[in-house]
Amino acid sequence: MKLQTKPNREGLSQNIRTVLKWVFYVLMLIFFYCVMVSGSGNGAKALMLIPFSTAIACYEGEIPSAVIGAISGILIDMATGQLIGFTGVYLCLFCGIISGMFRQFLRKKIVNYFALTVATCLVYLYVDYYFFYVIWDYEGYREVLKARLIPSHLKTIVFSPLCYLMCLAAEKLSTVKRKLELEEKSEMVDRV
Amino acid sequence: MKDFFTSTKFKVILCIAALMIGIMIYAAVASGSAISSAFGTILEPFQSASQSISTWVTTRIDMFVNAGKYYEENQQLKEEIARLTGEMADYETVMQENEQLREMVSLAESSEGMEFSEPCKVIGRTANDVYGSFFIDKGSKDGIEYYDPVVTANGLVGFVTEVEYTYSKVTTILSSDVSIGIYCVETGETGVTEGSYTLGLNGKLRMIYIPLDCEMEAGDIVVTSGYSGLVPNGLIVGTVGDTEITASGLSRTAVITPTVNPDELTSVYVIVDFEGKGSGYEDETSN
Repeated sequence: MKLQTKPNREGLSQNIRTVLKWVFYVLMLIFFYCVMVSGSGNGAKALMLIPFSTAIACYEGEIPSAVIGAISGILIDMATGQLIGFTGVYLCLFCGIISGMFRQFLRKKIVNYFALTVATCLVYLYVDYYFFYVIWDYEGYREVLKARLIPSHLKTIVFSPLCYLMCLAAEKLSTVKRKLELEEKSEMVDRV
Repeated sequence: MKDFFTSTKFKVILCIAALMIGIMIYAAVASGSAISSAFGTILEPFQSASQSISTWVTTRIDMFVNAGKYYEENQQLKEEIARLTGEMADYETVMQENEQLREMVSLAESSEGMEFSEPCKVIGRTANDVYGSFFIDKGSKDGIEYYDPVVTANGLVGFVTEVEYTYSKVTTILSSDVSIGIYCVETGETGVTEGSYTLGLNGKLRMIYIPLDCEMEAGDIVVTSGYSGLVPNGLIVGTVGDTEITASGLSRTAVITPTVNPDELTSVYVIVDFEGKGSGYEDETSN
């Protein structure tokens, strides 16, 4: 008798699945960018690229997460008309560190993801508000916090679990699971 | 976790962050960013398609949700048409008066020398921007330049503030970054526009430096003066609302309601050339 590992799913190889997963990530980045810049200009819009990049950081390595964070940040900067690279720096560092935290001592649970996403959003809210509104001291800047920034981040946080579930599904579908099977009565195996 | 911060991976992340800081500094000192231009060129078709889908879905939902309201509006409009048909008799007189008014404010003369772009489609909006800035599907390849005025048939919308090869960004007149000379058609009193977050959230702006003894009244129309050379003379900006004396007591301010709501725009025109373009006081002072 011998223990043998076999791929659980037939069909696509691991490499193709990985490529498809990254294609999915890129398409979702474009989709979330389009959602931010489409529709009416009224009201606050969720910055879904933040929770999506933190969700990717849960399942990917530190460097790919940092790169995805940087790209997401640039897209957010383009969509919100901010200085290009500002959010890129922020998300690059946060996603890299979040990925490191999940690799080192956090379990991949939605609760952990949600807590880190909320922390990321809150720090970003403060940084964004401070650097783009408070220090310029334009008339009525506090009203922007109430009318736009807080509702926008609330929407982002509320919908963030969807990003986690999407990345979880992508991760599961892209991983070829191996399971242990008992091989019996094979003529090729020498038995003692 | 301590190992992570001393690892090569963390150093690589710091390098990427340093690259981002470099991009940010470059974007801050340069008028345009190659990164945003490259991303924007790639994303522009997606953005355009997404906006079309969004408009289509919104229109269909609106048709279903407001069917009853539209029926009532239809009935009212039929009555309105009947009433307007009766008023057609006065049309010629009104047209003559209108012509006289146009001559009075030199609208006719100023619009003669204007060269418009092709109709520009609104392909996206800046997320969470209080002032309603947006992107159009025409760029430098279509002859669009920085600070070209953007208009609709109803009046001035704003200015082009970013030009890429295939698209441009328009900052509206509600923005605190935009100030232009305007005057009241009825009384001739001049002033300058000023935006603020408070007013921007309500879709309004302010006219400042109005004389204390102004005779403007609510409902009066204000148009561009064209002194700066950035915008032609006589473009409608909006209507006057409440006026009040400033804290210094030296002048008055008036709330202006623009004739164009940027949040509802789907297409605009860019004035690519006009008589007196760039011949404002900036040139005179620099010479």
